Amino acid sequence: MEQFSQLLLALVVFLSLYLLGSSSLTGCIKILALQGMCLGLLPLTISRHGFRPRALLLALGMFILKGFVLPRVLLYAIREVKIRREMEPMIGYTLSLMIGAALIGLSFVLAERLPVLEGVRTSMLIPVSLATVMMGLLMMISRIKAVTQVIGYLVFENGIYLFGLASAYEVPWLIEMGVLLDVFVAVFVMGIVINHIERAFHSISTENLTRLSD
Amino acid sequence: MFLILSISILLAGAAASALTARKPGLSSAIFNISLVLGCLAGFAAIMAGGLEQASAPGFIQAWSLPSASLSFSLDALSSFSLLIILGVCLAAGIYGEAYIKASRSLSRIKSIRPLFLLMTASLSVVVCAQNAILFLFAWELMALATFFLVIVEDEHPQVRRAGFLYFICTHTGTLALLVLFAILGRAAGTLDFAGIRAVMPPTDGLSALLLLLAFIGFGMKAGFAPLHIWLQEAHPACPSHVSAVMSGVVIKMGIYGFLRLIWLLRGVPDFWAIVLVLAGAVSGIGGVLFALGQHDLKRLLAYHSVENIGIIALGLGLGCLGLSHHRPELALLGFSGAILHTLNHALFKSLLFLGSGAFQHALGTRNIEAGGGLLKTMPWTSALSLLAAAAISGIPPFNGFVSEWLVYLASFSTATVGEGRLAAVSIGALALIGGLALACFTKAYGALCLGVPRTEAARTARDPKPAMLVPMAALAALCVFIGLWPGPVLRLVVEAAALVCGLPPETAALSLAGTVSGARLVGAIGAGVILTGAFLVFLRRLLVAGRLSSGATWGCGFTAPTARFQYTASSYAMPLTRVFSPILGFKTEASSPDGYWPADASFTSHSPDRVLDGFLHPLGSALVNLLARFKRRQSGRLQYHMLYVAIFLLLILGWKL
Repeated sequence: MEQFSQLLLALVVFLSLYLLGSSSLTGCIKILALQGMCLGLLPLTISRHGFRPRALLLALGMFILKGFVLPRVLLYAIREVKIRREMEPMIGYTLSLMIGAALIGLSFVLAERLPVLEGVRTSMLIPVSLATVMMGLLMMISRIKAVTQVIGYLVFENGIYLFGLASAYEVPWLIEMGVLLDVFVAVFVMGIVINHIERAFHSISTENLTRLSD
Repeated sequence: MFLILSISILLAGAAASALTARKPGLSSAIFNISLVLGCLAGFAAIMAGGLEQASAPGFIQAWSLPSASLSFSLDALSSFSLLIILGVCLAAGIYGEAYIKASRSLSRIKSIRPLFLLMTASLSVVVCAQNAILFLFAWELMALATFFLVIVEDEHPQVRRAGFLYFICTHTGTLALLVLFAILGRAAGTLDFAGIRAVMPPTDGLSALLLLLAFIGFGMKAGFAPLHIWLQEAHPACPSHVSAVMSGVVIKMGIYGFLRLIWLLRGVPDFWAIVLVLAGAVSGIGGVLFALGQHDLKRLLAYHSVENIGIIALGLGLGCLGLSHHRPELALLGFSGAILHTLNHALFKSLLFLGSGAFQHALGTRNIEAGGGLLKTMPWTSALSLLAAAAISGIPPFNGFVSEWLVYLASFSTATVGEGRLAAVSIGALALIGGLALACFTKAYGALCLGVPRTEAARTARDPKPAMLVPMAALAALCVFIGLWPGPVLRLVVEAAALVCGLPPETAALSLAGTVSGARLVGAIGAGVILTGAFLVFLRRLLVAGRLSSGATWGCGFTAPTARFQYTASSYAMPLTRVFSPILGFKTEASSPDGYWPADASFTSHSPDRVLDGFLHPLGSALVNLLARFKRRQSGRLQYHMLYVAIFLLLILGWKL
């Protein structure tokens, strides 16, 4: 089981890196779905005492939500606003990938020095979650399209979910609140923000959001 | 327990009158009933506390907040402050009902009644709280309730400005109090007042910091001189009955806070005394000087609040001096003067504000130059205001004299502990304040109520309804009562002062017995002088009856006198404002008449606030100019903002690990 969870975690990091270097929006969303499925499987693999019905329920919920519902909503959104299928990064893909790699290294250094939580079997959980959070942030910072920023936010949120997973067996409701947060994101971000950006600026590019300076 | 009952009735009344706000009649009835019942229950609680003596256990209940508890109790200081709160709020609330109904613009506003009850309840909790968290909670509730009462007429830009200023000031103060109680709580390990007091050693290292924080936190609310900036803006902005409570009670919470803090710390070092006496002298003289330059009646009264807070601060400072020099009789005199003046100022200042509301309704403006001759058209309001003006100027048979007398006595006995300079500062300041206050009130009262009407509104003015006059008369009766028979009230005051000094009340009462009889004697002499004067006037009338004809006031022997012959308020005050113009920064703009047939001439004068308009505004605009340079560096892109956040978070993370 341990090997399997290690594999899943490595896959999560790899997919985040792939997202940083990918230019196609639909591709990005599919990768995000895949990452979500990996995350959904994770609670089953890291439990100390084997399966629990609660963990199964959690895994199922995350798998459906992150693997199917959110990507479906995103795909619907980009179809609705007739978005061009390329990304317009502020930082080039190669550079993004290199920064991403550096961030992974940094997160391993930071995780080394974090007070390690009791009851976490997989030592990679914390560094991977930190790396995912940072790459999500990097995506939000370096991309211009609102949809890409939402994808970045979701990656960021996945990292937080991973961090919560580390303490899932001490405070199970924490992670379940995280699930609720995901539902909230699905409804709120997609429904309101994108529609409003499009309506107000006739484009969903946040390039037009520079009015923030006042 | 009556106290809890009182607070619950007030809060329930606030909720009920808010829910029924759409039906003004019902809401008004609920307001009246809950205010009267709540205040009666509160008085009952005070009476019960007085009978049981100070050992009453109070009401304690756990609260879900950490290190907080809902603990209320009534010691001598709390019950005296509660007496002031409930008395003034009751009078102002009943007046306010009639006041709201009489005003078209106010009767449309639904929030006044619930907010007024909420303010009364939160004020009561502030003085009864025995836990720092509960105290701060109630303090903040009081600040918010009064903030919303300040901005009820928010269609006027100056009201919004005043509200904003008040909001900033009160929150700055709360911030300081938060730190103050955090320090005390850390030193004591508990946030219960009794617990803090039990372990509090005289901390010399901390006391400078504590004084600074208390000066900002409580002094901002009370209106000590450089921190008074919100007072003269906020008091004119709210409805008159709210101004009465603001000036009579809300700012006194700062004084209560100081007394409670001194009680908590048990002893204070003597630089507290020096700071408080100097602050008192500056606030007192500064307040009355700026009052001299005002034409807006409520603004003038607001500056007088600063002046009276100055007198109270003098008393506080002298009391602290007595504590630090271990001279209990001086401490008792100083604190008694401060506490009694708190009550007295609450009585006569709220009476003056209620009167100003009646004048404002009648004249349609707060400018005193629009009045004139109101003693004839509004005899009751004018007479009651005259009484309050005499009391605030410290003229003998009224209550203002008794408390100023106590502060004077404290100042004189300061000389005996070897602080001659402080005694000189305090006595000089008191004398100057008394004289200038008299000048200022003769100016305001003379312009409003004497002479002949200057405007049509003043000519047709009428006294308000009895519902407004009765509360004013009650306050006036209390002013006279305390002036003539200070004994009963002084007993309560001495109990409160003894609590602050940490003395048993019996010895305290004994040591002040001589003072009390002295005050009564002077009061009796003052009453005798006034009665003799009245008798002489009566006699003169009797003797010259039928042989005198009276001309128009300020007629000056002309055949066709006009109202413009009279002294205006500014011309009356001009000699004084000119003498003090280096301090006041008094500004006049005049275009003098020229030629044989001068077409138009004008004269205006105003005195801007030195601290607010003379210092803070220039400082603020300089800051804005400086920051505008940084604004150009900002692109406004969302991504940059996120980058800054990310960098900051990473730095914090790296720094902590």
